Amino acid sequence: MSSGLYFTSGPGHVLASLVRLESWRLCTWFDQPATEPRHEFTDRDALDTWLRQFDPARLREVAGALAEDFTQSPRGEDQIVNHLAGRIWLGSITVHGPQFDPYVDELPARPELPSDKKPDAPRPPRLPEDQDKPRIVAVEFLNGSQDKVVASGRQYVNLPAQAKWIDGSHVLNRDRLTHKPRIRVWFDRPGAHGFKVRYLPGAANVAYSGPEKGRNPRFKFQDAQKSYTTGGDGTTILPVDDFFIASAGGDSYVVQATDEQGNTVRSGVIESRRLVYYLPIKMRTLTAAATSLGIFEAEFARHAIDMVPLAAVEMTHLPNIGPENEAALQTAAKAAYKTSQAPAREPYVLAVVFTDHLAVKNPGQSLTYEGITAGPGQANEVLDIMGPGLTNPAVKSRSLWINLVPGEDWFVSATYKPAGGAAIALPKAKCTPVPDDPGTPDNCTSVSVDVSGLPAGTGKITLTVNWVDRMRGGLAFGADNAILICTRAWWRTKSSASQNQTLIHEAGHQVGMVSKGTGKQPDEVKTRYDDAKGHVGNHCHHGIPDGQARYDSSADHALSDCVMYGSGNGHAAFCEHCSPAVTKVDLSAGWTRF
Amino acid sequence: MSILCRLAFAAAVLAGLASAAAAGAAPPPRKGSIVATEQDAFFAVPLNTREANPCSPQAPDDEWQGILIRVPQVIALRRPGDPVASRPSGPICGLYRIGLNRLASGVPMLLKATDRATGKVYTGIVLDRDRGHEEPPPRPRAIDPARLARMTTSSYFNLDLFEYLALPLRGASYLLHAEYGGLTSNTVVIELREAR
Repeated sequence: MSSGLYFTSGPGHVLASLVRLESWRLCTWFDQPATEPRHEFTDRDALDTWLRQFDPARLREVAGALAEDFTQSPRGEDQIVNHLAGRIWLGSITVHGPQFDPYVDELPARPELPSDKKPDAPRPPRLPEDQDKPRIVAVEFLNGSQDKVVASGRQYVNLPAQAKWIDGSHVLNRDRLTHKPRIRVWFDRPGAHGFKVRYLPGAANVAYSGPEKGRNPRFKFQDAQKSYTTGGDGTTILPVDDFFIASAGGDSYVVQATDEQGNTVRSGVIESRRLVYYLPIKMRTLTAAATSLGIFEAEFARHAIDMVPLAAVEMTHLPNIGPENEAALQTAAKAAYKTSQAPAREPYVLAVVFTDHLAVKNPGQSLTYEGITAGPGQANEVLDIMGPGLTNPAVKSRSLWINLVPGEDWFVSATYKPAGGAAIALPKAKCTPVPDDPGTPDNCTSVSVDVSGLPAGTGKITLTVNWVDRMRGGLAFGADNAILICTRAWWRTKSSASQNQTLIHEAGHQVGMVSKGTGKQPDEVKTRYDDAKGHVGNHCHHGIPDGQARYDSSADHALSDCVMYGSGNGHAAFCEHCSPAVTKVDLSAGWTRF
Repeated sequence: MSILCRLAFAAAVLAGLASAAAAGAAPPPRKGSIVATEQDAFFAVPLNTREANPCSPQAPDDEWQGILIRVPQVIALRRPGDPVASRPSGPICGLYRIGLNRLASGVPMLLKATDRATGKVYTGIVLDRDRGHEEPPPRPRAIDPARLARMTTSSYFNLDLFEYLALPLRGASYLLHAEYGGLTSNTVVIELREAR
């Protein structure tokens, strides 16, 4: 049995002898012969697995034939599989087989098109003059000029129809911009001929609720059928404002047109996408910034948001960013931003600033320890540093503020007060921080105090220290376009995977997650929680039981399984509740400069 | 230390002692006007910080446990030249010293303001808001309750009451106190006064 993947649409693309495992092929859904078995997948993982049995190079070739821009930018195997699986899942491609050997045998000829299929030529051949009735022969999405059509392409619905967005890789011409793709109809002869047009949305397109459509008109596509008449040349380009698609990514649309004799034609397929540029800004001398943001890009690509990197720039190194020096950071980052490609990509650009620590200090905290036995020969007292937090009232171990900012020390003062006596100052030299882990000697949550030089007896020690209230993995500057990603936390280098997870989280905030269901947002995410329950902003508690008063305990952290949980949890994917909202979001407004 | 600061500091100490003596009760409002220098000193305090300043209350003695707060007597809702919509700042300078076991339940500090005219009570939770994505420590240590029992924690705090209390921005007089770890602070009087 011959094996192969076969793609019937587009330029007669045939991929012969591609695989040995099965005889299956991919084709656009409207090209499916009725008599041929159709392979349907009910599980996305199974579909991914099935695709991975094929040669990646060949899959890339198929993907390239489906979307002309696909092979023009670097893509990993995962992205290719994800792209194809997404297209199959959304119904714009079907998988046929295994009995298609005749097709293979006909190589290199292209199989006959279905009777109502439009011609591929920019201008279809007209039927002989002696035919008595005008007949519609094609309806197509235009592709850069009124004579070029697209068999399948990506429509970047968030970008406006401006030449500056044609980047030569993702967007090749102005027709692939906006949520209003141009549509042209051809008849087989000149004259004014009536016809009706409607969109056929993909079977798996995301469904917006009534309230969503009420909040944001961009959540609607043109679902009405409309009637038109061609111009004198037997063709017409439909009024561009009449046919629009929704803001969601990953949706597919075909246009269907029917003439007055009942002849029906259909267009190629467009897939809606969103495109966002991002600018890496790295502090000079920073060595731990992630070298690959592939996980971040793939997660958003899975939701039909193409995150496209711009050339990275550098900025001044700041040792730590706390609330008190965010302004200094912004000043330095803005200076770097202005020299980059980012301003030209506004408002669809995010600045991703890679920083050192993002630690917050809680200064001057005093702890008094009762029942201390001091005097010659006494062993050191090891005193735990514990206390409530500034954002979380729980009493926890606190790390001393060590080696985070040059010139800032952990030690403020220490005294020993014997029972019934006056306080005795303890110099810093008598107080030694104790590392929790030899691998991170600066992470100390206890202090060993030498009490052997004190008068014999019992008393109490008061330590006043600066401690770390919390460390942040990342930070989004409100509605503006900057994201901070820390490359070190708790005195350790963060892994590339962890930095990607944080970036997905922060960029998730920038695209409107976790949706509250107000304004122009999608409906509220079922597992959303906000400030009143533990973390500032809108986050997701998927994996944690509903109905809790707070969601920020250690136990909650361990149970959480969505990247939009309020603290870093090792997960890089949007959960089943957040994912549809990410797919739905309207990114047409972009962001303002930070 | 400048003369102004020294004056403010002395006033702060006296007020702190007076407040401590009256902790738990609602003292009558002081007669007369707070001196301009002290009033100004309050508005020079960096808010949302945790360090002592000349307006901070002082602990009565080493054994004392509790909460003390100090506020300016008057907060002008609008100062000459201020934009109409600008929010005033309402400094509260405080100090607590509390056994750590009292805080183990994880209940945050509360601020409570009672409108003296209407009796309406406004309550705010004193927790900072950080829009950052928290990075948990690699191996958080378990807390030993026995250790908590022999520890006391103490901190100054400098809050902006408007950050935590949704008080109407109109002229009114409030009785204000804080609650934390099962303890209640002294009660102070604060007046929001509309500029003329």
